[in-house]
Amino acid sequence: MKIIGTYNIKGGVGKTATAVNLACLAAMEGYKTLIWDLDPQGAASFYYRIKPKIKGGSDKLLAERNLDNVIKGTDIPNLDLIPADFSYRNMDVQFSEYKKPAKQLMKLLRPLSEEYHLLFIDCPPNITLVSENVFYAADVLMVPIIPTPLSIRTHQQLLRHLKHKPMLKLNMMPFFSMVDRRKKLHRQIVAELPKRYPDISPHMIPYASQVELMGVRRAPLFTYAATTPAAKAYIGLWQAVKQSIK
Amino acid sequence: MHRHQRNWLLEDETQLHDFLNSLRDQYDLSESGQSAQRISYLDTFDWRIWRKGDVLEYHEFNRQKKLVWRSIDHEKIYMEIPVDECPEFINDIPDWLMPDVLYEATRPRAVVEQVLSRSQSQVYGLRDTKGKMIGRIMIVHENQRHNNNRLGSALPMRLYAEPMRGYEKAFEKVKQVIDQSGLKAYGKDPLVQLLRLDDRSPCDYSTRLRLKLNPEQRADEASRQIMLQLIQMMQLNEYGIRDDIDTEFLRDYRSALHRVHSLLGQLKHVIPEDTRQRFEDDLVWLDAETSRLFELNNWLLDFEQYRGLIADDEQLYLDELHGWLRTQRHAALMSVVRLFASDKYQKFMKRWRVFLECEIPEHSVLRWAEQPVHKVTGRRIWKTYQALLDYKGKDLPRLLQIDLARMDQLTATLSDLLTLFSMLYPHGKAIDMIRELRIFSDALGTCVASQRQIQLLRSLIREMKEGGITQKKTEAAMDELLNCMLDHQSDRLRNMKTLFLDITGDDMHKRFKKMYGKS
Repeated sequence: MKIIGTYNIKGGVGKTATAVNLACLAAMEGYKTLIWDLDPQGAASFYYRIKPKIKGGSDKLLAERNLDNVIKGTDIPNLDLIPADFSYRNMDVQFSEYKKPAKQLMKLLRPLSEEYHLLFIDCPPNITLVSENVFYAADVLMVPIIPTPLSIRTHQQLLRHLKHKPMLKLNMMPFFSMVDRRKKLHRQIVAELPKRYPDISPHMIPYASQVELMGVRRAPLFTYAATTPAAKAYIGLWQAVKQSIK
Repeated sequence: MHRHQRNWLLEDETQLHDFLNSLRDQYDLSESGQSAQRISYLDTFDWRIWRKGDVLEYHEFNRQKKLVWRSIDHEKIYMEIPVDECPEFINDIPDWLMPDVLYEATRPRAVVEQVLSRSQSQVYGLRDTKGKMIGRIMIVHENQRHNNNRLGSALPMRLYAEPMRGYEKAFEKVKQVIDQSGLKAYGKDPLVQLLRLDDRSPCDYSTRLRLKLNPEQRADEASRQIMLQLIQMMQLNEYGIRDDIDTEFLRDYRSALHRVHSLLGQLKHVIPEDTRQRFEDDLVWLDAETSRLFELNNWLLDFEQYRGLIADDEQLYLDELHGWLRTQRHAALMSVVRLFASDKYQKFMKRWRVFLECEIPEHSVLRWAEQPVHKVTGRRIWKTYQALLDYKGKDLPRLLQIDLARMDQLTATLSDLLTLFSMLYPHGKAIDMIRELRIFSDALGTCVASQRQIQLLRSLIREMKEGGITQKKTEAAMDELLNCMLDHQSDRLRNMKTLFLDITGDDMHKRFKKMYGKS
């Protein structure tokens, strides 16, 4: 099983939309896919019409170490979801009570590897022990960046943080998200930033109202706007992710 | 956790229509996709996946290609794996997608298409009153498909029902609706039904002979029946060797060949001597012609194991030997392919079949030809066992060093005779003896194989050195490997003594005498 995390310290950058749409694409290609909505806000669960609640909360989940009972099927064939729960907000405290606290998520996910080909983790926007766990577990960490100074600043913060964690062999894939080419600032940053950070993927997701409509439709983009430029951009991004995990 | 599916039989369109209406009364039923698929049912030539209780299907629809690994009768879907093309071996699937269990079950055998079909399916999503999808049902029409793409007979229409993950409880009610509709369970797996249309069944390839011999049957008639099946077995394996599908084809080919040879050796005065002698010469020729490929196959299959015998830092230097073995194997394979196409081989096969298929004369001048088969075989088995007993009390490991081949031949002949004629004797008794003899025979076979591999390695070292294509470090690694193999062989030969005592001990002796000594 390959694990793909969508992460950024900053909120509202398109992490959930990326996880939801890429997971949908993977499932449509026949990969048995699971998405874990680790963000207590529960947006990914909402998009997939699943109640953001798990019985017993994260306490029970970590104590029993059995994810089988909390997995729910979605309307998309081959795609299941572990719903969010408000108790996830305390997960970092719970992780810290174990030995090797940064590797607890990895341990928890191990039994799923026989059943799923791909796991997408939609991370909450912060930098805590939970994110540290995702860094250890993920084969690819996708980092959406809005081409704005604030977003770039948080990306730099992340890079500085990871510099102090040389044991992490993290395959990071930053990419531009919500790019609005009408804005001069966006155009400038998209042109200049990759020169400083060549790791930034050439695949960028445009700002599009169809993506925002996901919240209204409560479904991934490909179920209602599969041929739009935004959908095509996600397809390009998914191809790049697939290349990097193969 | 595996996906659980149940399947039911749909007798006709009316029943389908009524059933869908009864579901619509209670659920929001929406059509959620239609697909036409080409399905290849895959298995190893000796049905290892089926024997494990599973079925492997390769589906092609639109541009999507996937493998479906499921249990027989569709009770469980273990995994659906997207692939770029139909794999030849399970380890052609990328590591992160490959199910280890399936790999273990099939390796190193290729998966081949056993039967082909075309299916059309209609999927319906079932939503509860809150609009949440709780499961899917699928209506499937499947037809046999011939190699020329023509559609063959249709299988009965079937219905699959599968709950969504996490909604199993809610889906139980759907199952109740299905049961109340009076639908019957689907019955035999589609794979079985498709094979049946071709008068086949799963596991229809077996090295075990399907014979019904009568103990009172004439010896010449019975022996011809057996040899005919063995020759058919050889022919059945030819295509797999020619197309290089799997090394097991050659193994089975040679196993049948050796069995015919063992049997022929025991048929003096049962079939005309000049015929027997000519066939025996032909079999020796065939054995020699196919042995190099066989030995090289074994070498390559065991290569990593052998590599592990020498020091870690020297293992790398054996890559050159591996490359050489592969080149040599290719040449040996081409030589066998040419052999199969040769006039000499074709004539040999034809001559054999004509002789074995022709009616036997009512009366024969040959001494044993008209005797009951149980009498002739019992006598031969007893004589062969006594020949084996001659080794008793002697320094076996030393004798084996000198004459391993003779002991192997005797044991193989005895094992083949016991196996081929086991149905003539009280059920179970011969089987126990075969089992015990086989333990010895297998251990001896390992020694013989190892000795051949040592001989082959010696000749390869010589060839490589003469060709000037080895580096000093490779030569040193190969020499070390040869020494390790010789040490292992000595250990094996020492262990043979205990096993030999098991089959020549008083208890076994009495059993042989009771069953075969009176013939």
